[in-house]
Amino acid sequence: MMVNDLLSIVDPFLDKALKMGVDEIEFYLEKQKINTAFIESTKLKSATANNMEGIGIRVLKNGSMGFSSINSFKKEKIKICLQKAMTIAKLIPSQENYFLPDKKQIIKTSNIYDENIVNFKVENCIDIADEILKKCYLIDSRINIESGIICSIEIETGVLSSKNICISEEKTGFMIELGGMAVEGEKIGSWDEEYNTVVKVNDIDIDFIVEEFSRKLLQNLETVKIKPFVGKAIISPEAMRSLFSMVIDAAKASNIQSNASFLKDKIGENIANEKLTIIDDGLKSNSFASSSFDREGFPRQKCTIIENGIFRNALHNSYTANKENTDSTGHASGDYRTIPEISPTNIEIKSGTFSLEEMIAETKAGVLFNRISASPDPISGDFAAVLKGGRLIENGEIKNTLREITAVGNFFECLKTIRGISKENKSLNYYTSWKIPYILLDDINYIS
Amino acid sequence: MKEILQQVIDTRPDGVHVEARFHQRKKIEVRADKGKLQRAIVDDFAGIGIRVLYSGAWGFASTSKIDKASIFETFNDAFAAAKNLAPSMKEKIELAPIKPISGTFKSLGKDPLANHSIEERVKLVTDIDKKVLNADEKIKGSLIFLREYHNHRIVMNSDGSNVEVFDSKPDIYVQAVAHEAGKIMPYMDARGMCGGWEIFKISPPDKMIKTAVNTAIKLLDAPLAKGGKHTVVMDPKVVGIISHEAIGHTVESDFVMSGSAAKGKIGKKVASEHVTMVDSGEQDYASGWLPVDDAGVEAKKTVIIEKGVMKSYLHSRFTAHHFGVEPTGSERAFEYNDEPLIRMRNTYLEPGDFKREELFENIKFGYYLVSPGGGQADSSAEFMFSMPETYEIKNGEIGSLVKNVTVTGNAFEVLQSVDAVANDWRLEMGNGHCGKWQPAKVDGGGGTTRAIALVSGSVGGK
Repeated sequence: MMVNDLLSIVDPFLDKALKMGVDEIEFYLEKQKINTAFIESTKLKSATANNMEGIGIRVLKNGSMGFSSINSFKKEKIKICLQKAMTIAKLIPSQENYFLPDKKQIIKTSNIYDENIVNFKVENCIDIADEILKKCYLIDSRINIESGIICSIEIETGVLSSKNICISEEKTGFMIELGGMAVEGEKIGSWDEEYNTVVKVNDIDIDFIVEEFSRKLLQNLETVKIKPFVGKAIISPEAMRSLFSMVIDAAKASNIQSNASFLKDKIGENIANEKLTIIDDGLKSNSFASSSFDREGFPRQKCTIIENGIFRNALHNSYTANKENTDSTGHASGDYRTIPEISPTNIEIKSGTFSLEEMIAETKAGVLFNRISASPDPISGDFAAVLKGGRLIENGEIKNTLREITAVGNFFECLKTIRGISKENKSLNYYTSWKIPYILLDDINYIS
Repeated sequence: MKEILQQVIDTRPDGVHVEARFHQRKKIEVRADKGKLQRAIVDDFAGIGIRVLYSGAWGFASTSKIDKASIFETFNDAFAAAKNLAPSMKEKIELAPIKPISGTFKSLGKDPLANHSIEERVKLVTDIDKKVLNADEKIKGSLIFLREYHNHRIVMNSDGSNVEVFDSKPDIYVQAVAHEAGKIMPYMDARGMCGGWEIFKISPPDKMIKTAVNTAIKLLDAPLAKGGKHTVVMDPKVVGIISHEAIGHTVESDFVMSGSAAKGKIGKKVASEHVTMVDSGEQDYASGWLPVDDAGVEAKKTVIIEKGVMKSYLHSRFTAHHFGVEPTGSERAFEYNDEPLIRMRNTYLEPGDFKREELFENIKFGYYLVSPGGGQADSSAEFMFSMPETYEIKNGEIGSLVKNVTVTGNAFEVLQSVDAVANDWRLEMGNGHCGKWQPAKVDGGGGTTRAIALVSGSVGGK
């Protein structure tokens, strides 16, 4: 049954709940169909067919919010789920500013659905997995795919609320994700990965994924140690994503309002070099991360987070927006099993004017970051990152791949001293998509 | 439910191996920050997962519809997936034999969570939150998070295993965020276990508040560590994370087959003689408690390293057959719609003979690593972990707190440098999840351990 039809099953519960004294109520429905072929240890491992469906119910009574969820659309189960949500709402303290968003006009995003995915079967995923294995082997037999996922995804979501929101949408996705390392005898290169998620199965470029994956793994095989030094950093899009996730997390209104963000009270202030502009576009066409409405049925939109180094907008859902007497930015996120959180959709860090070649040429001593393994502190910005597959740059030339090198610094301070942003960029697409250039930084401590 | 699953197993076509699981997980989450309750939610997630082995290929399917027709349809989907995959399999999957296991297993604690109301949970979390915020004028932020998993599993297979398992696994997190002169420093104390409300006696909230608040404030002014190779004394929590992340994943035999650093190391010396590392599901108070895995195999205590010599990997029935050994009962699925994967359970170093205080003696300069933060490790055993609570050791004495510490290196090299393990054994790594395509509740620890590791900080040891 389509989510659209399920909304009509749920509709009587809305009236019932309101008659039982609930002030506001929201039903979030979700159905997913995922077919997957798994690769493990450079061999086909298994094939799976998963169907999931469920409903999350948010209930408000005197400003108190209760939430319950269940993975069933049977009426008796929805009734129990509703009762649990209402029980919780009665028990917990009232929260100021907790009310559901009003219905707003939705702009439909385009190109998020592919009929070919709907007809995709498990055996199609198996065929592609087999193709990937053959291509990797032809490139180099030292490539080990430790794990790989090839999957087709169909998602239907729907929101029904007492604020007259009644909306549903379908979207599709096709994902390839490969992780592994190159192995030559006793030598094991650093683990690395390559992935992409597209809306239409015909848009996936298997050759590019396999070639990029292989290149990274082989590059990581021969490594050298160096002595500690201070130098420049050219940060790849993959490493940028790890570091800039901290900035995006800091821009979430929930973190700002909890005093757990360095961006608190910084709207309109200069927090980064003027070269830096970051936007999030929930309506971007032909992106798996896009949708017409967010987890609360609020319209998705384009949002400028940082503009020429100035912090312009935090990311909001309706709860955080209500606290500031402003509108949601359409960033409510989460599946039916959680209350709405805040997440980005399609992040773009605007490209600059420097070419990657120029960045390398001007670096007397530094490292081209490939991938980082780090647990940066999202509140202070302090990080100590192990660089995986980092490439030493000496006098404008890329030299060896480095082993066991750690970079230390404070990323929020680094934002102000960005030396350059590249013209080149790469799209990293998963459930969120990122379009990211390379960034050049000065004065990073390296320990090896 | 069991009758239907048994029917699916009994009516399977010839040559088909079936594993049928029912798993209901009820999750409760209560969260407060900055003086306000943010959420109290209840989630009920139940369904059936069926894995089929046919002609050397695995197929898996799942459903949330728990009726006979839907369950049989799910079996058909899993069987079809296996049949479609079979012709492409270069190495046919075969399974090591097992002794089937039956019974009911429970670990719900001395004070079961089910005896406590949502109201009680809300009051507990909001009280802790208020106390954190009122603890000191420098504390401007807080986060208190209580999460509980209540699990009911039925696992049956065509070898005759038939088990029912009940457990509950609570986690509590207490974070304080200190502010001063534009600096912001968080610190989080956390605890997780298998059991009930006694978690709040084992880890009293007031003690967690004190740790979180005091450490966050001290970190505001803490200097950087002196970067370089140093003698480190690792608290059991840190020992747990190194054992789990840096070694444990390399001995998961799916990673071994992909070429991890543990490949070809059985029988070889990989650590000092002070190191005996175990993975076990036996400890029923720990987050990795597992009497029977999700393939219907009894979960055995597995000695991975014995006095420095590698003894065993962690195996599924498939990898056990491949390596010619017994399965270790290490296949776990997080929820009903997940396929079982090789995962760890409780991973730890056995206690040594030293007293904890002895480990600090004779250290002219080094670091005491108390509490790990996040981190990652590679199949090559290279690892990196943040250590938000780290102290200098000077002339045998624990000194001042340092900040922004990360410990890196090759885990086997670190274990080879171990020269003392204390007898203060405990498991204390039960909060959070291990991630490997899907989450898993695990635990880890050991005795306080002394070794040499690369510590990040200011360059050149300034």
